[in-house]
Amino acid sequence: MAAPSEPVPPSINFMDPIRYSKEQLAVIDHPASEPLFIEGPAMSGKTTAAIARLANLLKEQTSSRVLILTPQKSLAKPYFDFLSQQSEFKGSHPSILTISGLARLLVEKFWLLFSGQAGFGKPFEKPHFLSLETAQYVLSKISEPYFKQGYFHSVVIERSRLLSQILDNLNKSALVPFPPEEISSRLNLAAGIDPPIRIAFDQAQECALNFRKYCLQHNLLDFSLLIETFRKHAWGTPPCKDYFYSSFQAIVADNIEEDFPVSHDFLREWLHTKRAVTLIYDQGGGYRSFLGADPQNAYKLKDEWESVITFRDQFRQPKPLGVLRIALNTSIQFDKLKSMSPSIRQAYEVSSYQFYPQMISDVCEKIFHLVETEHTHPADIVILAPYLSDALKFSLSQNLSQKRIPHTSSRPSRMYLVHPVIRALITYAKMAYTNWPLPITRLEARNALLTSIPGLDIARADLIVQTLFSEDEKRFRSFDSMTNPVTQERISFQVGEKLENLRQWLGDEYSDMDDTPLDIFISAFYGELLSQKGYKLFEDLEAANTVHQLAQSIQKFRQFSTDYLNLSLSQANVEYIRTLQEGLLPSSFLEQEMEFESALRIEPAHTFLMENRPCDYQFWLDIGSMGWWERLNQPLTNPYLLRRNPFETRQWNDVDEFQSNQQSMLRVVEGLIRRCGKKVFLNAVHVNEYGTEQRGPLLRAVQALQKHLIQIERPDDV
Amino acid sequence: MFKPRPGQTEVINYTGGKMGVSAVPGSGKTHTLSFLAARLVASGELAADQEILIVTLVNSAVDNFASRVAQFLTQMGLIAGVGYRVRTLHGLAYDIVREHPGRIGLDNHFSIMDEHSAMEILDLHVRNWMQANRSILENYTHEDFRFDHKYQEWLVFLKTLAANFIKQAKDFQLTPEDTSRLAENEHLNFPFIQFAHGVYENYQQALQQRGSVDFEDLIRYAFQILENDPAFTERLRRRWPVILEDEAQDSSLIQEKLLRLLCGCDGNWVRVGDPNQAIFETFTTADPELLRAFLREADVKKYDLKYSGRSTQSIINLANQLIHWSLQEHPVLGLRGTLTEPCIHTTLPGDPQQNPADQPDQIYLDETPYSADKELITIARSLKKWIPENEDKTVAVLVPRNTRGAELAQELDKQGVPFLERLKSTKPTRDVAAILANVLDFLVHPTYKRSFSTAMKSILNSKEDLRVERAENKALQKALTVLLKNYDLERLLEERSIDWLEMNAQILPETISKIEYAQELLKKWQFAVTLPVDQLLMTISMDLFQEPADLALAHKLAVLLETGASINPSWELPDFQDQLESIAENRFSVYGFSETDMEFNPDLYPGKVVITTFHKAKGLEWDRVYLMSVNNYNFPSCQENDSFSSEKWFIRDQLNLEAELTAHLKNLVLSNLEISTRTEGEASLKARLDYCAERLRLFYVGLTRAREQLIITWNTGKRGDCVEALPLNALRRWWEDSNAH
Repeated sequence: MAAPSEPVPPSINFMDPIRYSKEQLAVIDHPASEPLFIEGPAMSGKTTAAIARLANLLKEQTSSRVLILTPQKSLAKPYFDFLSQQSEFKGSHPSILTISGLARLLVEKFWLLFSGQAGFGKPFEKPHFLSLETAQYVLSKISEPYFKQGYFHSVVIERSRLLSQILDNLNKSALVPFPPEEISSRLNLAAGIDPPIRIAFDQAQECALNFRKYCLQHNLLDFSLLIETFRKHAWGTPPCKDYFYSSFQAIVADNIEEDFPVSHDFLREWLHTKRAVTLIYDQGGGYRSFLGADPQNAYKLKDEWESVITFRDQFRQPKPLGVLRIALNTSIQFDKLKSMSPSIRQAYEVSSYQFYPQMISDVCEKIFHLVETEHTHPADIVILAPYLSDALKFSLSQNLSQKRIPHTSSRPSRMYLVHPVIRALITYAKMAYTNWPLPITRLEARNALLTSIPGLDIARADLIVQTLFSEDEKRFRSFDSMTNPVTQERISFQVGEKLENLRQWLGDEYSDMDDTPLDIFISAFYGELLSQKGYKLFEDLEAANTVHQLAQSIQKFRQFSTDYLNLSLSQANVEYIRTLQEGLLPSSFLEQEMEFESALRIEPAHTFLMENRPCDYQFWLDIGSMGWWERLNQPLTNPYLLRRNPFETRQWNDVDEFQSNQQSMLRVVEGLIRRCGKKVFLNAVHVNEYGTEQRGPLLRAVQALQKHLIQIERPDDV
Repeated sequence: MFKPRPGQTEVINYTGGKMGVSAVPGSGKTHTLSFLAARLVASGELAADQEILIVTLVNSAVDNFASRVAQFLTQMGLIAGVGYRVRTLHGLAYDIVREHPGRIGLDNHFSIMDEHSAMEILDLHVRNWMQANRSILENYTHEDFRFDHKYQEWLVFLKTLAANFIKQAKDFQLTPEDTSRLAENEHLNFPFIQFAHGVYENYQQALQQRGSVDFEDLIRYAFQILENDPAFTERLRRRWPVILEDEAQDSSLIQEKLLRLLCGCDGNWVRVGDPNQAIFETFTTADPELLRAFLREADVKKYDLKYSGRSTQSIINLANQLIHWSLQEHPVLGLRGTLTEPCIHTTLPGDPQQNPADQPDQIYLDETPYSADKELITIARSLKKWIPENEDKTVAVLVPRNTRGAELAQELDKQGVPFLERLKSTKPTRDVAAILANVLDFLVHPTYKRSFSTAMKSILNSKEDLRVERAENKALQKALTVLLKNYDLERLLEERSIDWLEMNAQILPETISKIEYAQELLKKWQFAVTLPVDQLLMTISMDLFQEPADLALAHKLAVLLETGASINPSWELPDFQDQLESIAENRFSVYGFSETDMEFNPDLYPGKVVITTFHKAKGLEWDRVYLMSVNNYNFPSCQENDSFSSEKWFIRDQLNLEAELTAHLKNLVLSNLEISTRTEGEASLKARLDYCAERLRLFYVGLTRAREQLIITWNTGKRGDCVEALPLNALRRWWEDSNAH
């Protein structure tokens, strides 16, 4: 038994130094072979305790027989961190998987046993797993004739968004699960939909079913078909089950509130087969509801677990933040605010600005003060917004850079092609692949240089392009070949040397580029040159991440298109660029890993919540934005109607929509404040960056709180 | 704080239900309505989730209202900004659609199409139609002309015709499917129906492909969402338990329907307006009759705000005489009653705003038949003399059209009279586009010294506090020349700073700091150049602009360029720069969210002539006002020699095709397609009456802008055949008679 005074291993604990709480000790001491349900609010130390218990478990169990299941990879970080510090294991590493990871593992392994019965057209050939991009690509090819017939004419959205909504509907049908034939009738439960949109629901379902049919015929498994095949077919074959049960004795599922109903079903089944299933449930969570996560369904599991340990309190959060959390919660729900401790003022600060630029510079000024004067570590500061436009990100980044504050940002849903790094890489690829029928303009060449050579100003970049770039040959001539020494000097020999390296790499390393897969080229060019010291992307972790994603995406596309569409390597390369120009979404949506522990972060609020880590200072931008409140509104899908047990007898109406938006904002606000260690800076801006005024519910709740506090503090004036 | 007059008291003591208020010019309606809003907020009867909703016509009024309500609340010891919301109809519609975009097939990030892009779409389809339907246009061309020679006129006209048709159809909530019923009706022998319907259909398709809506869609969609969803409507009724509507006389059909729906049967709705000042009716469905009909409704409490402290007794007498003349003496029966009572009354003793002392000698209704040029010269001379003697007074010249304003500006410039324009696209609009175009030009050509200088000057001119006055211009130019002589451009874009002393050029420290400021911005933006164009533009504008209008406009331009980029994937920086430049030069009017007529306070410009159109002068007042070009061309009265700008001179039989087309649309709304088989030309005649009525109201608006002094002139027009406008003639004779006694 652990002694109550023993400090928690610092490696897994951000609240160091602390001692285990009573609840934590109860978890740690709970017999490793027995199921356990742990619940509690965020930051109450559930995962910390579960990991300590895991350490005990690993002493008893063969570690390879432990499965750790999380809804997405970022949530498994504490487990990865813990395991990376363990030097000795009995057997191999425990498995850390998501439900789709597990599905893929088992579907691949037992494919031949069920592929025919599951309806695949080529049961004796290997399956191919589609990424989001390749799935979207296939769907777009299948839907093309329908678009030509005038389908979806009532829906005013871009093609790529429309396609992703069709896929999203299919995914939900697999994760909930419900038959894909129900998609339209479920969406039709929404009230107030304009009649032409209802026709589009039917059309969306028709395209989804056609896509499914095509996938089955060609052994293509998109995310939805993977889950469906696993649940309905693979899992039903006795060898698969046997294999699983003999592999895993103990299962730890963390953040089950962010997981899908289908995962919950498996957890229940594993419990009933006498596995030591430990579930961890975060009471305030549910941030992935729009992806199909179902916290209510997760919570129902509790009834079937005999042992439940409930964590009540949050660790070491200053009292004023707790007061703020409750006050905002009350205010958001329009309940009457009661008297509250004046200490609440220490927990937050509201600033109002007329315009975005003022807000940005003031926020950066405050951050500078925190870092310089109060010696706050930049990693203990986060800037949060519901949406993060590139212009906003850019302005913040420029401002922070001037103040020499290390910072980083993630923006998962951004389109590939708008990313300057990707555009630069594509330009270089066009230089390297001389046979491509794709021209390079001077400005493209200039932008590529500006993105790669540090300290290069736009005038010098332009000079280089004017004097050394040939649009016909699609490459730079040698710096040494310049005849005008004055221009050479203006460009500077330092820059010239960099240019020469770029040139040589592009020309020499891969002389016959056409046979090189594009992803290999991108990775090599980035890895061997652009990311090296002396180049602009050196130590640019965000760029590294972006390039990594790009290379992965190209690789998946290449494998898929050469295997299944019979494209040549060269065709696949060009087809990828073409598809990119049509607007692809990154496959690793919300799956970005960010390991920048020394930097301040600029993130969408949801991303921050899904990283599940505390941060001392939070700057919330544009609290008037509707983004703090509303769900992602997509005309052809609806997360609430495509979930388990929607109401069958009545419509989904405005009251439901309003309530769910309210709940979602409550969850976000609660989740953020729970993850705050010292202070929240609330920033309101009168005119948003689009020039319109927004008076969203969060702003109004904050205003009501302010009004209340003024009344308490100056009762005579009112 | 606020001492109400009779009439105002009743309004501010409003307790609920429907109320209609007729307010004469200068009666303090904005003030009264703002106070009412503040009082309702302060009453404590609003729940935490409720707001008073104030709806007004233009963005300038939104700011005006918001600041007044805030001021009252602060005086009451409450915090401003809570418990009320001020919106234009477009802003309100945006709020509504924004909450449920999915219901009508949009997502959260839908974009709003601007006039420029809309016109580009129309251009394409109109040209196609013209090519295929040449014989129709030949048939409709005036016999004095050949169609081939009038191609350009037809093109411009048809684009406007199509744009207005689409706007009206949307106001009537007619979709292309609806208008197809008109187009397919074989009995209608009017080919422009098929034309307008076809363009409408193509236009809507183009919007859909771009994921865009236009402003009229926004309102239509808002109404549709509310109509489709009673629960949502109910929630909004709870959120906005009281609606205060200003400028209700200019309310369009759909605005009234939308507010009626939001208010509900037993809701609380206060509508304030002056039917005599309805001047936005042409080409819209707005109609002062809507407000008059509302005032007649049984459950509506009616009040008049008839006291006004704005003008002298003489000026009020003139305005009231115009009402009397319109009611009793107008020679055209169909125009009698265009202006209605209440008349304007001077304020009562004890009122904080007493009317200015009367100066009948400062009223001058000039009977001289000036030529167009002579009129300009006369007014410019008069101002040149008057201004130095009255530097603390405010003065405006009201012109019927933008072009006339531009001519006057030229003349004033020539005579050295200080002035300020408030015309179609205000100067800031053109400036924003031009400044951005100049900065982009430098980013396209970073090695051109001229581009650098222009960009630097543009940046400085965009900042109020850094603006380079004429006197300083030379010094700046000199400094830039010296700088560029000593340094290559790449050196100016590096981190290393500039050694000004070394140049030995005796440049003033203020000039240096200005240059360094602009230089810093260029240094920063050079790295934004790899961003997508919309983000680049926003980054630049975030640094440059502070004014909401400028920011909104800059964003609009960013969206515009982004749309251009998505339609033409091969476009690069130079293409965008071209586009911006053409916007700056062509002076597209940009309306809606980025409306540039932001709050304007004439009292801030004493000693300077404000040139404005009659329309833009609404709501404003000056010590001295000139009304110019008041002839029968600008203010016709359905007299024999009157001409009508809607009856295009190159079209046969004085047909007003727009009016003809509108008549068909209206019949479609009334489901009365048979009526539409009537003879061509009927609607054109009817439209004359409407137009004359609106111009008469416009004249009334002009008159009532003056506090103390009023000068009215007219001219004989381009061809020398125009006469004094009928109402002016009537007023002048009355004035001369009454002053003769």
